[in-house]
Amino acid sequence: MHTGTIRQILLITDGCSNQGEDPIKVSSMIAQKGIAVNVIGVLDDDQTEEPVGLSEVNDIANSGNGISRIVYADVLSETVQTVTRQAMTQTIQGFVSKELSQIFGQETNEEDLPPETRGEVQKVVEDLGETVNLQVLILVDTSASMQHKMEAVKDAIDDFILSLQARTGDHYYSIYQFPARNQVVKELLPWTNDGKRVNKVFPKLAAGGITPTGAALKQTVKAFQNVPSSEEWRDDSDDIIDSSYGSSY
Amino acid sequence: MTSSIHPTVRLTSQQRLEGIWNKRTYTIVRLIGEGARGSIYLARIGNRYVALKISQDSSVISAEVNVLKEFKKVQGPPLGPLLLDVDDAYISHDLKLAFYVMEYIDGVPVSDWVKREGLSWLFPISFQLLKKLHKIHQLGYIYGDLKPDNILIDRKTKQARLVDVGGVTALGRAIREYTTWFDRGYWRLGDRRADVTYDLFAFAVCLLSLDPHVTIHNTKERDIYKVLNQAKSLKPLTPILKKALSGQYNNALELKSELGVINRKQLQPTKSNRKTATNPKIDFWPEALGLSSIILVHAGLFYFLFYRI
Ligand SMILES: Nc1ncnc2c1ncn2[C@@H]1O[C@H](COP(=O)(O)OP(=O)(O)OP(=O)(O)O)[C@@H](O)[C@H]1O
Ligand SMILES: [Mg+2]
Repeated sequence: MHTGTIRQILLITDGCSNQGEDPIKVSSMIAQKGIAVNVIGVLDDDQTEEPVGLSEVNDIANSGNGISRIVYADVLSETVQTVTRQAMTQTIQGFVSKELSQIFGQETNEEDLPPETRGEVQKVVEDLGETVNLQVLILVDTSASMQHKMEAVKDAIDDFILSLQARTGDHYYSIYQFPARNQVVKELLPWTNDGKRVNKVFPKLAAGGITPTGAALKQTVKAFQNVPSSEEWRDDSDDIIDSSYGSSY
Repeated sequence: MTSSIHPTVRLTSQQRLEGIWNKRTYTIVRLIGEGARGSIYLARIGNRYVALKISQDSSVISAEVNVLKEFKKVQGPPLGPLLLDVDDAYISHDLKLAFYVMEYIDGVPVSDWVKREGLSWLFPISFQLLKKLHKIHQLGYIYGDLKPDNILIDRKTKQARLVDVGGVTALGRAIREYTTWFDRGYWRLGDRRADVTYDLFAFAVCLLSLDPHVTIHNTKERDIYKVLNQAKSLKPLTPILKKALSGQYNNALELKSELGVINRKQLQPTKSNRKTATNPKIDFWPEALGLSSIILVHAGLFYFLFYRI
């Protein structure tokens, strides 16, 4: 099967942006480039579920064709997994439903198919989900309030890499932090598929300062131009799956 | 579909679901389970009780149905709940959702069962589970999300049943669904690619978690062997559990047969067993052995007397 590439940004943050560009606008611009924006809002232990400031989390993901979730730090690991997988599936489903309408010659919703056919479609979606190439840029909010959550973030990313490595398809991931000294975002780890490199990155994380989420998102998009290409990672396969189709759901 | 990833669905008791394709009507009785992928209801059709799984995310339904269909092909004791129907229904005038219907298993979660009936039940339960796991492996899958919550003991037949096929994964692929404590990746003892040893690792952690001395949820260090040391009631099984945790069993039947050896040893009131006061057997059967061992010892004595006279 010919596989393509799915591109995602995973933003891990604990609150509202307070400076610069509107992150919701930025994220819809990113979605138009075929990159889905997923957001995980991390709650403090004493916070009630879904406080007002975090509603932005859902809005950013919505306009970014991504998935969002607001959780306590202790379930961050599972959440990173789920969010990434669901967003990937959503993108693939968008792609498959476009293919379906080509086959059936009209606007076809997967939901309108009889259960048996849907079961067959599901198998195709799963095959793609397993084999497609995946590029995930992890953007970590390191503003002061995130300080005591960093251990959980590190664990979650560590764990996430393990899941990436289990897939048949290729993957590349990179890690960015924001804000950083004298710059909006800072690259902590360039694109790699080496799972061991995460550990070397994390001691560098230092929390502090403001939260320019919109600007940070905008900056990280450029990074997708620098994904290394390898034998199995040819550019010509890149447009087979376009994340922007995810919006049809 | 929205970006919400809480696929649970609220239905009310007495609500009727009318299948669009197959035209069967189900009456909701009550909620029996809710998880990360959907909601499970006890429902009635005619005078039969069934379990109905419904989700906001239709792909959850399709995926699990695909697995249940595979499982249905296998002869012998069922590997999962039997699939009865797959359909869509309007749960309100404008919301159509996918659901599937399966056999309702009137059972007790294995942890409650063992607490009530004693640890000695771990043997028959393990044998049944390992046989099922082996068949799943032969089909080319692994169960994946093995944990006590997903193991029910049928009240009537007292057989162990696996529910929740959300984690079932084709061999060689990335595990679809797992739970932290039962995942070898979490303990840094292996990858998350589906192979037989993944299930057997989870199986061993299941047994560990059923030992009353074990506090798996409070372990800060990720060292499963420390947890193994806590499991005082499972002492006789330590070597076997250790092997399973370190991926040394190539198939479920190997593990099963080694458990069988221990089981037979436990049941034999041999001379040496009666002599050594600190035999691990004693603390392995805190409640259950009470009666059965007395019977066995007596049976042994009778046997002895009868044939000598
Ligand atoms: N066929 C069945 N008969 C009786 N009880 C069932 C059946 N299927 C599921 N249950 C009960 O419902 C609970 C939840 O079901 P299930 O695990 O399939 O949901 P889930 O959404 O996959 O949850 P999670 O992802 O949290 O495991 C089970 O733990 C079990 O107690
Ligand atoms: Mg379950």
